[in-house]
Amino acid sequence: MAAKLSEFYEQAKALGGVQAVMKLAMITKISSQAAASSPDSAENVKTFTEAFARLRQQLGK
Amino acid sequence: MKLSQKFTLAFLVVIVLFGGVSIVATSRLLDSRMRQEVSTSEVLFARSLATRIFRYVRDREPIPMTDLLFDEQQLRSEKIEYLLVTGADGQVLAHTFLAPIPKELRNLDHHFGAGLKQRIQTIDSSSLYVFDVAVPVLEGIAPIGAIHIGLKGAYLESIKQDVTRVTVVATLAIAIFAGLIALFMTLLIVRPLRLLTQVANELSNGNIDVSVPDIRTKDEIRDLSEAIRGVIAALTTLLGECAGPAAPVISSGASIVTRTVHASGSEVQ
Repeated sequence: MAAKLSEFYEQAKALGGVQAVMKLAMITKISSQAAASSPDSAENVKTFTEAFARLRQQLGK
Repeated sequence: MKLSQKFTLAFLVVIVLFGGVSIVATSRLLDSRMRQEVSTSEVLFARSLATRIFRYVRDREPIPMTDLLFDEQQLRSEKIEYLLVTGADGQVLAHTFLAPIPKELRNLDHHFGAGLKQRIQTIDSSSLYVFDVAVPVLEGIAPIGAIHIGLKGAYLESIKQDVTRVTVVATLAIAIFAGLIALFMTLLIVRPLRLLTQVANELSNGNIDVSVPDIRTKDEIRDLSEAIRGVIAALTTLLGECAGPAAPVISSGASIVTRTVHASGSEVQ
């Protein structure tokens, strides 16, 4: 269970709803389901951190 | 027409055009080189011969002159059609013809005015094709006759044909080789495109549980595969969201969201 990666999705949903969640998936190329079953590896966390920052920028928040 | 066929055809057209141009260019270059050959080496040879036969021309000794001409022609028989010497009055003093002198040579200009050091004429008739190289035989600075060297046109043409033949063969070999390379390159490009097309077709059929081929080339095709991977991830996430408690939020999504929900409505249920 990848708690950290799933948390990114939760934050994205809170930030911009389904649209933000989809954008996060598009940027990371990892779906929320895949994120839930993927390990919280340093590489994955880095990918999501960068993607989330990009998402914030796109949403202007 | 398939992309691979277009690429291969384009390569072949370019190579054939290139080959055609190089053949024409080679042919023209050889023409120019042939003229240069005539106007340099053969003129020098004619001058050297004129110096050697000067005494015979002055003393009107046709027999030793004819011997000398035949000897010279024997040495370069593949190249020289005839050697002919005339006096200042245009009368033929010696030649290497075993038959009567061809009529085309009877009207040759034998006179050299002041400053004219050589004359090259192309004689092209049904029975004779030669480059006639003529130089004056000089006594001091006064011309006392002329020597004509008939350079075989067929000899020069055969050189040209040989070079052209080699060029054609080389062009064909390059065309075949380039065609194979084009085919190989096309397969490199088209194969991953076909795989990505299959993925896109699966998506359009509503199957988002499709894996995107791992393309490792660092080019546009990899960008395309990554984009498709992102779309699949987004669709999968969306369907997950729809199946979960956040379903009502869908209405706020972009147009692609709406279309995806319609396309895979059964799965959403």
